[in-house]
Amino acid sequence: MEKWILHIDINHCYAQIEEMKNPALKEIPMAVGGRESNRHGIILAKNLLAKKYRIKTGEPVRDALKKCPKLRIIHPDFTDYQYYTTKVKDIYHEYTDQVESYGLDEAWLDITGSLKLFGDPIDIARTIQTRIKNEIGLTVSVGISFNKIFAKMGSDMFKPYGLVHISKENYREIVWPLDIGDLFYVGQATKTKLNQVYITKIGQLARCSKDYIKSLLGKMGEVLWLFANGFDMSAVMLATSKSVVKSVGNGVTAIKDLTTLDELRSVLLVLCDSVASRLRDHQLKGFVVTLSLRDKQLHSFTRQKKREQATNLCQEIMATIDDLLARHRDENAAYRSVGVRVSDLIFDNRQCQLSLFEDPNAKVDMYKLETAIDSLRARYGYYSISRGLTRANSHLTDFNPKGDHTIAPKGYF
Amino acid sequence: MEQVFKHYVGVIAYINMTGQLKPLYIVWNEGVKYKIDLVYRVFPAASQAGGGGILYECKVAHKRIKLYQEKNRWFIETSQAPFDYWSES
Repeated sequence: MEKWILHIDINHCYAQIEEMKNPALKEIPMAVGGRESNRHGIILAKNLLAKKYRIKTGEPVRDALKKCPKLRIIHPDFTDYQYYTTKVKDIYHEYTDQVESYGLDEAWLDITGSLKLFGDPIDIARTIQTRIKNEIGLTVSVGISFNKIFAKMGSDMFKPYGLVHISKENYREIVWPLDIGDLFYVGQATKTKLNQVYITKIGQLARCSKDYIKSLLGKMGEVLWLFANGFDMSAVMLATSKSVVKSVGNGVTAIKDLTTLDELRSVLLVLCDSVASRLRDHQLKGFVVTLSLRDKQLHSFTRQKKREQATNLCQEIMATIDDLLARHRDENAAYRSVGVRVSDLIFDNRQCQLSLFEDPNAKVDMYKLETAIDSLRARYGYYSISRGLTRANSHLTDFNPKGDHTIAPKGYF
Repeated sequence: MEQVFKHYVGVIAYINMTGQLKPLYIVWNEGVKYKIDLVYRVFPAASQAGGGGILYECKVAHKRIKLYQEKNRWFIETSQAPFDYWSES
């Protein structure tokens, strides 16, 4: 049976929500960007007038202001963005239970099962579009197709307020003439590789033999070939199915470059604290601890180490981090952003293999201490209690990685 | 199209046993109370003046007004521009 999948994308999401809250912003070039003083100064979204000045998402606010000095920068308000995007998703849920979010602003909807209730799929798409416009005041682009990849490409085709139907009959005319870079999961590196063998259009990739592409790009090549031919059959996830946590991590761009080991350690300790606490929230513990560092020149590297025993305790994670730091830190480098991640997770059932050389009681005490800190923070706020080491560099460590809103980029697979 | 502005107001409401909410009075600038004579209809909508939420179309003093519940606040659409303290002083 043919599937009917919609991909709905809120056009330039953050900027549009700001415009909706204050319509006067529609008349001027405007962009949503972080604060320069905290060094989070990149453009997150821009409106149509700002687009005319060739301002790009992801570029530093300073560069954007050079291109357009009267550009208005709005600081992001993530609670509002979450509020309005959830409202939009509530509308999706009225039509199907199969809604798979892809970031805040995009979602796939499988409406195959809803056709008997609501009728023609293109009518459903139009209704959703007009309802979001009238009830929330946002415009969305919709792509309709028989698989997720073509649906996504359809919604990218006409912005704002587009509606594109890519069917099994017409995908050769619509999708195949597009540039290879428009295909999902083709980035700059893959594009260059494909251009070297004179594949510039999606159709050319689709008509190649699968084995040739596989030999060129490896396993991903096969996936891309399937994408290009419309053979992607992955299902839209049920709204109720929770994604399985594969790793827990936190990272931060410090307000000034971290030069000494002390500074580095105190920032990392705050991150370890948050990671450990989040692991305990999910009742998980992990074996592999990963440290990622990025220096002033924006070169980044990650190093990881597998522990003997899985852990969700801040002190144990920090001990592994210390180990990694001692081995891999360049003493002359100034680090701009740091991150800690724990992966290879298992369920924490409070049982573990005892070690001959460790005092098991100390571990129990540590666990009690850290859960006590958790409950203190839950009751009196995050800043009610903190570790002594972090107070030495309090200007660097005054942030709450667990509570402060972060949106993690998500992969398709 | 006539330009409309957003004016936040206070609201006195009655919530019945089933949790249904019915606005009874609008409180203008924390002072004068205006009785809502009738609620025509209630539906989610975006406001021309920006923002939006649940729209209560009401009759107040023989006029049809649009009263919005936006998250935890209420506002009405007016044609009167808010007084601009920065440019007029």
